[in-house]
Amino acid sequence: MNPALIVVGADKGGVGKTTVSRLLIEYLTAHGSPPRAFDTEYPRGTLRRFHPDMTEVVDLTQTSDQMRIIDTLQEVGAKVSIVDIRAGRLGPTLRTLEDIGFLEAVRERQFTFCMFHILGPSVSSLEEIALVAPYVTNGNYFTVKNHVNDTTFFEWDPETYQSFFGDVKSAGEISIPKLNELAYEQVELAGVPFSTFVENRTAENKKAAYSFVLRGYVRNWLRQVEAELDRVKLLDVLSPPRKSRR
Amino acid sequence: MVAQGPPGAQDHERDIGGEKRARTVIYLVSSPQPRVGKTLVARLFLDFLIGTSRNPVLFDTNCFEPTLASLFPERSVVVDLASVRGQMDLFDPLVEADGRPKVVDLWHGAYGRFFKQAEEFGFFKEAAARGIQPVIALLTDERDQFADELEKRRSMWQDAKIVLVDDVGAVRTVGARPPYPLYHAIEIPELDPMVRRAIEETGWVSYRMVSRPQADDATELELRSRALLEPVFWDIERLDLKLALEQSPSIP
Repeated sequence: MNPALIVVGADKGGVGKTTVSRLLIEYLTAHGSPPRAFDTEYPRGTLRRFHPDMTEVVDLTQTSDQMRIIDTLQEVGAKVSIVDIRAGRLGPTLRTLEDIGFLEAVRERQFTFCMFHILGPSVSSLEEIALVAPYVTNGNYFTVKNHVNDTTFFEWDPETYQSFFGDVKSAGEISIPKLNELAYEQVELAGVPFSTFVENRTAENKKAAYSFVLRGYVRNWLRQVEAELDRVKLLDVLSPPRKSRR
Repeated sequence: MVAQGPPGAQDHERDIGGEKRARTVIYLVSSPQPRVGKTLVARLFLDFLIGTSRNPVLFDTNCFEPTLASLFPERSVVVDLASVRGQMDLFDPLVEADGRPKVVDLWHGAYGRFFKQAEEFGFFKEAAARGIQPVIALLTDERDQFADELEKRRSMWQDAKIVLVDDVGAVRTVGARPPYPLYHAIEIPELDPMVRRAIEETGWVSYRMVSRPQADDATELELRSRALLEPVFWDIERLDLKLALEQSPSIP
């Protein structure tokens, strides 16, 4: 398995980037491949709040932090690294990856690169696709419709959609189903991974007293998300055959 | 005479996964059909549990017309299973092994929703893990729909404790019995109007009267109630004893 880098981003804020990053961490951990994660919400770190053991907060505008991610991809135990890109930094981050030669190395199959582009409901999200597409021609580009915060994607009509997607090589579209608001809110308050909430444990791994009903909602939602990630064969995408070295 | 349970009886504690938990029984009184006698059966379970000082909690799932809850407001919770809050009001306490018996009057309008949610939330599995004993008291009906329901519940929950209840006063024709042994069966005779009114319109705890020796100056209501309800409470006592023995630490 090549070292893999997953970038989760959107230029718009509030579309659920961190939720998707959390889901990817939990999915990979559940499948025996716990990733390391980088939270670019510097210095706050929302992702780190839920996964403190595997998340570092980084400032991607700093070369030293870029090195902390890219230069160590082949060195660390975790074979997958997830970077949760803060709002407004998706374009610059992709340019940086191109500038430092990372995307070239992806094209040479030294690394696996996945982009999870979280789409918002407006056409401006589609315009982001045009911005992102040139950087992911040889990568694995997933568009994600995140319904968790009740997004309806009402402004999209098929013709507009096709006009943006016509030339984009997408590895698949992922739909994150809606989670009951109360359940989502309780997980937020608990400050634990979704699966820890389902297991009724605190962040300190002590027995908690979360609602049985809300745990049920989260459990069923996680199963649906897992089915979505299974459907796009994410594990296979992250473990492509190595390039022959004849 | 029906034997009286010990006053203030505390159900014994069990060791579940290294934790001491009190014996907790849930009676889910249910039928997908209206007017088959669910509320009367729930009421008789409640009478028995109050009469044996077990401090039961009643959950009335008919949020539009909570008949039974209105008679016992101090020990009742009215829940609307269409809302998440309502689901939490019901299922969260149901998975608490707190030693308090619970009676759920499962209105036919909430019947399908309850079992769907129970399955989605993993209610029966969670209850088993916590040493809680849910009992499904399924009412028979003239169209024999209960037979299909019986199969559904058994396939949903392999170790289901299903008690078939015939309320002869509500359902004139008793349906065919399944070819396998049931956990228990209860028959409610047709009640005369005086007894029925006393039960349906007041908070009178019939078990208290039925379980004490008959007085020489017994009232007409007492005489009629004793004749009609004593056999029913025998059945309920036997069921309760069976459940208690299953959880007794001395029974392997």
